[in-house]
Amino acid sequence: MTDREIDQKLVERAQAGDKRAFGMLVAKYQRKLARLVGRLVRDPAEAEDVTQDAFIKAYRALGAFRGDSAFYTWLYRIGVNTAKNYLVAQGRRVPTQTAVDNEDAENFDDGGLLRDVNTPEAELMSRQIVETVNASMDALPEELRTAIRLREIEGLSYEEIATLMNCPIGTVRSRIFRAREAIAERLRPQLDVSKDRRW
Amino acid sequence: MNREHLSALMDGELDPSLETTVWARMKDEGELARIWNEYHLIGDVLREKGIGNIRLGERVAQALSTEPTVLAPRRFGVAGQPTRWLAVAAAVAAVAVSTWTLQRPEASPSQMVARNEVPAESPAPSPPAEAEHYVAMHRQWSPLSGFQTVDYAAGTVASR
Repeated sequence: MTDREIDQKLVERAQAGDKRAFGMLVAKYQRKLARLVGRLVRDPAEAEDVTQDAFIKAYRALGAFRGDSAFYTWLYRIGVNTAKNYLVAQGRRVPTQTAVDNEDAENFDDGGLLRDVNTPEAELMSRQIVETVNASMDALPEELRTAIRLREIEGLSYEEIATLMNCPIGTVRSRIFRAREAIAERLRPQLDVSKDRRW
Repeated sequence: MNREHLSALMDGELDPSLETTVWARMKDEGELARIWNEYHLIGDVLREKGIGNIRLGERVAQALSTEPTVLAPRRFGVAGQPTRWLAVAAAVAAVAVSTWTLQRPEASPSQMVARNEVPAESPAPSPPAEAEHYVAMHRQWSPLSGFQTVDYAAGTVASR
C-alpha cells in the first residue's frame, strides 16, 4: 500500500463518517500544512488559525474529494487559498506569484521557516521535543538507530534497508518499530496526552 | 492491534493480508490514532522539519468536534476496484451480446411465423381502394402518357 493509498483509505473512512480517520490525516499533515501557511501568513498565531481553518474547510469539502489527485495536493490548494483569502480579508498584500504557487505540492518542503514563525511557548516546547528525540536517538542501539535513520531520513524501503543492513525484512520492520517505540516512550510525558483526549 | 503493524502500515510496508484487520482495529481504537500521531511527529523531527505548535492537532480536533459529521456517498478512488470491474463486466457483456447476435443462424420464415416475429422487410401497406380508383380514373391526365407504366393495382400493366 503506497502512501497515497493510505491517505485515500483514511479519506474514504472519513467520508463514511469516521472523524478519527480525518484526525489521522491532520496528525500526518499538520506540520507540513502549517509550514506552507506560515510562508504566506507570517504572524505565528494567525498562521495557526489559518491552518486550523484550512483543515476545517477540507473536512467540510471532503465529500467532494474524489481521489483524482493525492490528498495532500488537494489539501495544499485549500491551505494556499485559505491563507490568501485571509490576507485579502485583512486588507493585506497577497503575494501574486509566490514560490508557494509554483511549488509542487507533493514536494513542498520548508523545514526552517516554521521555527521562525512560532509563538514563544510553541518554540520552547518544540525545542524540548527536538532535544528529546535527538537524545533518544543517541541512546538507541546502533542497529535500531541505523534502521530508523535509513527509513525516516533517507526514505529507503524495508527491502533496501534489509539489503544494506544484511538482515531479513522482518528484522528491519522490528527494528524500526522498536526505535519508534523507544523514542515515543520518552516523548510521551512531554506530549502529556491522555488516552481519551484525541479524536 | 500490534503496534508493529501500525508502524509498518505507516511506511507502506504492511503485509497486505493484515491490512483489513489493521484498518478495522484503527477505527475502534483511539490509542492507535495517538500512536500514529507520535510516530509521525518523530519522523518530522528526524527529518529536521520545524514541528511548530505541538498542540495544533489538538486545536483542530477540538474545532472538528463541533462540525457535523461528513457522510459522503461512497466513492472508489485510487483503488477504484468496483468501478473498474463493473466497466470490464459491461464491456465483456457487450462483446458477448454482439457476437451472439452476429453468429445466430437466420431464422426460417416458418420459424418467424411460429415465433410471431416480423420480417425485416415487410411489403408496404396497400393504398386504400378509393385512392386506387381515383388514380385509375385520372390516369389520362398523367404527364407520363406514352410510357408503359405499372398500375397501382397489382398485376395490371397499362399502355399510354
